[in-house]
Parts: sequence; structure tokens; C-alpha cells
Amino acid sequence: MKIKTLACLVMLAISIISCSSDDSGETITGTGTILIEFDNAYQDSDLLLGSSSYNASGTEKIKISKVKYIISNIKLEDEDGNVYVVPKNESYFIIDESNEDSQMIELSDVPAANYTKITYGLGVDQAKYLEGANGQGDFLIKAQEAGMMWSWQAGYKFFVFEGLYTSATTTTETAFAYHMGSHGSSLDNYKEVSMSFANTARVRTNMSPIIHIVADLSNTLMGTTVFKLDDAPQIHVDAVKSPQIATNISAMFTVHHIHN
Amino acid sequence: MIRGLQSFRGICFSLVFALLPLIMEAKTCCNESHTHSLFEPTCDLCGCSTSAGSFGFGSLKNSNFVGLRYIYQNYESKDGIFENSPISKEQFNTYQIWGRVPITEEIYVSSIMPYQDLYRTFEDRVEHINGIGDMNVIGWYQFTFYKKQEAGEINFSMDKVPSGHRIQIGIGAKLPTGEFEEALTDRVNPGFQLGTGSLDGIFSLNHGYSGSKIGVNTTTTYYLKTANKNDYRFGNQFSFASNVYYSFPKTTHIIMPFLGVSGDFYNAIEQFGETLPDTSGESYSGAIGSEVVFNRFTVGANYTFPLKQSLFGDNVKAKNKVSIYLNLTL
Repeated sequence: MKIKTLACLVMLAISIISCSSDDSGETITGTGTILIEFDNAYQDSDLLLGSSSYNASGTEKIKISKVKYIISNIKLEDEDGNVYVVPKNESYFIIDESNEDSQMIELSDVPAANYTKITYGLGVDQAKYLEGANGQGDFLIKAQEAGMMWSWQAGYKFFVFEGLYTSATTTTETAFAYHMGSHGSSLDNYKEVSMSFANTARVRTNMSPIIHIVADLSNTLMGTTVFKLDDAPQIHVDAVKSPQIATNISAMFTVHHIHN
Repeated sequence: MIRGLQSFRGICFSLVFALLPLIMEAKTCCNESHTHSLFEPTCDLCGCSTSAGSFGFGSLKNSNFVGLRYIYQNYESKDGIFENSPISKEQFNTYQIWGRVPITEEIYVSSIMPYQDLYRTFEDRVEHINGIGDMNVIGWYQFTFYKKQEAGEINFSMDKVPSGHRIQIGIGAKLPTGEFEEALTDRVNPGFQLGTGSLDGIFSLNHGYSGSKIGVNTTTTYYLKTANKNDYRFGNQFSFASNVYYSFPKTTHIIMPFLGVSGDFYNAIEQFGETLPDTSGESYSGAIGSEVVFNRFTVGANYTFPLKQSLFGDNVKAKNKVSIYLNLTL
């Protein structure tokens, strides 16, 4: 009697446990939307323009007033290795810390799939630049309005990072500005960034995942190359330092999480 | 069949061995809870949990009852992913009808039916959700141990005298009676939910001892969680709780203060079969409280405070919890 009762309870438990959904055999069709969020940080903190003071190299402390960069040529790779390339003319974006809308890139007509990897460019590639002013479409105007061009000859600024700093030797707040780009066609500072996801981003006709990317701007001054603002508070066109900045900031991105 | 200290020891050892794998698995994996979640942040946390969690499935004395219980819990979570992200405060009010009803001498059923009233306060706004939470139903089989003579307390059988030791094995389910909104899971504390939306298994093993003055209740519970319709699967959870109480009999009532410790271990949350980062964790709590028994009524109060915790990548902090209840002994 007792054993029968126990057996019944165990069977009940097993029947409960064995309920699970199995939809791995689904066929995925259609297109959907994917969102890419660029969330600017300074080390472990959310980057705040203006008031917050951040530690830079040595005794230097900075307050950041402008962070802008160009993201381009987005490619998404799914779990089977298929790569979706966003149409080139629609694949240039300016991320601006002072403009929240700019920090969320929305890509539509993306084939439904389980994406596991993203690749994008930081800056504007030479091929695009060499299409000339007419080949730039609307993006030329957008870049000019955002202050992301020196001149057509010198080309696009890929990255703008400005603010005020102090240090042990510079005790009054002093302006700094790091602008990095390709310098026309004489120096190519365009960088490609590629990152895999810990979780798949599942694009469906009715599901729009978000790829949440964190950009740690502390990499600008304290990356592979360490820059002291006391040595160089202003870097614009510089054949040596610009490529170093490009290398530093191309390593500032991480995929924090995927939200399905 | 089972009698004498020797066989009792034997059973204890076998139970411990039987439980070991469960405990180890729980350490490596679990995280959410359902039942607890309400209480345990990590888990499905909170919301769901609705049920019992560290507060247990019954009262100190091993009695059959129906009653009302109110549980207040407090959490703090980060509203964002950064060190300087603002903190939000969550307050969970849970109102439960709970009870334990005998079926035979050895078999009884316990159930908890919660109503949730949850608040999340941000720097600039307050979110409020309320409604029915996830109820649970557990069937229990009780082994009562007897000694040769001398009175313990309640005599369940005709001739034999209970030794005061009891072991109960419970198997049950947590039902998805509470609503689960996937949109809410984007926040750091995915437990801010009325329910988990999933049907979960509950496996519990209790030991109780009641002497003439002192009693000890120890509960270990494993929650096996399944994916809900959003393919969101809270992590499995292992919980233990142990309370020691002392009886002060008065002329009209009995006062039973108690002290307790509890722990909860959560596996990571999975979605679409993939593990989500920073969703596992563990917490240990202390508890102090008292029950007062007047005739057939029992009034109880329990204050639970965190001892040590690491939940959701430390993005969620459990604060204090209070429960009060009024039971009518059947």
C-alpha cells in the first residue's frame, strides 16, 4: 500500500518533469529587424558627458564633452556560417554620445536566422571614400553636420573625443581633443571589428533582438598605446599617433549581452 | 517496519547519500526558483517565487492547518549594466492562502496560493504589478519514528509512542498560474514577475524533531524548472532551511520562539536552450521569529535577514524579509 502510493507520487513527478518543449526542428524563413545598441562607457561606468571626472593615465583626470564615431559595413554571421551583409549604401552610421537616437542602429530586412557574430568597420573605408563626393550620398551631409569631416580633401573624422583634463603638472582645466581619420587616401586608418556572441541573436519576422555593445572609451588614452595628455593634448592629423588611436579604439568594443 | 534508533540512523545515512548529488548539482547550476523566487532574488526570482521558499511550507509544529500568510520582501537591483547605473528598489508583498490537509495517516497535501503586489521604484518612476502568483501543490509522505515507551507528543498510532522524529518526503508542482511578461526580463532583476510562466517540479525532504521543549525542523528542497512559453527557463534551485524552536507553555497559550538559517542556490537562467550570463547565484539568510498557539489558532512572525549573497552577478541584493501568518489547526 505504502509502496504503491510512493510509486504513484514518483510517476506523477516523472510525468511533470518530462513536459518540455522541443522546437529545435523549426524552419526559419522571412526577414526581421535587428537592433545594435552602442553603449559608451568609461571603464566600468556608464560614460556621462560633462560633469563626471574619470581617471586617465598617471595623475591625469578627464571630463569628456564629446564622443562620436563612425560605424560602417555591418555584417552578421549566423550559426551555420552564412553571412548577411547590410547593403553598403545603408551601412554608415554616426554614433554620438549626446544623441540617444544615434546609439541604436536599426537594421530591417535582415534574413531570419540565429546570428552569432557581428563584424563592422570603425570609420569609412577607402573604397567608399574613393567613390568621390557624389558616391557618399546622404552620409556626406550627415557627417558634415555632425562635425565628422575635416574637409573633402582630408576626409572623414572617424572618431572625435574631446574634453578637459587636469594632472599633477596641469592644475587648471585644459582642453584636449583627439580626432582620428584616414587623412584622405594617404593614410588608411579604417579598422574592422569582429565579435562573437555568448548567446544567439534570433531574428524572426516577429522577433527583433538587440545586440548590446559596450564601448569603453578609456581605451582611447589607455589602450595598446598609452597617451599622456600632458604630452599631446591635441591630436588631429598625425601619421604616427592617428594609427595608434585607431588601434586603441578598435579594441574598445565588447558585446555585453544579446537580448532576444 | 522501521523501528529503533539503528534503522533510523541507517535511513538518515541513505537519505544524505541520496541527496548529495542533488546538492552538488544545485551548486553548479541553479538559479531561479520559483517558489522562492519571490523571495530569492535570484531566482526566478522573485516574483515567482511566490511561494514558500525560505519561509517553508508549514508551521513549526507538524500540524495540519489552513491559514493566511503575508510576506514582505525587499530587494535592490541595478537599473543598468554599469557600476554607476542607478539602483532601483523592489518591494514584494505576497498574500497567501496556505494549508496542509491530511489524506491518510502518512499522506498529506500542502498548498500555497499567492497573490502578488509588487513595486519597483526607480529614480524617476514606480512600476507596479499585481495579480495571482504561481501556486504550488505538494503531496507528502511521512515516516514517523517510534520508541518503546515514554510519551513524546502527538500519538499518531494506536500503541506505539512517537520518538519525536519524523521524515517527510514531498513531491509536487509549481503551476504557472501567475503571469510572466517577457518584456520585464530585460531588466536586471528578472524575478520582478508575478510568476515564472512555467510548470516546475518540487522535490522536498524534511526532517522534524519535536521534544517536550525543543524542536528542530530541517527542509531541503529542489526545484526543477521547465521553460515557459517564451522559451525562458529559470535555473533549477536547491534550498535548505533549518529552524530550532523552544516551547514556553503558559496557561492559555504556548509561545515558541525560533532561530533559523537558510540557503538558496540557483542555476543560471536559460533562454532558447542557451545560458544567460550573470543569472546564477546563491544566498544565505538568518531568521528569527516566534509562534504563539492559542487553542486551535497559531500566530507566527518571521524576520529573515541576509547573511551572505551573490546573486545575478551581484547586480541584485536581497534585503530583509518579514512574514506573518495566522493558521487554524485542523
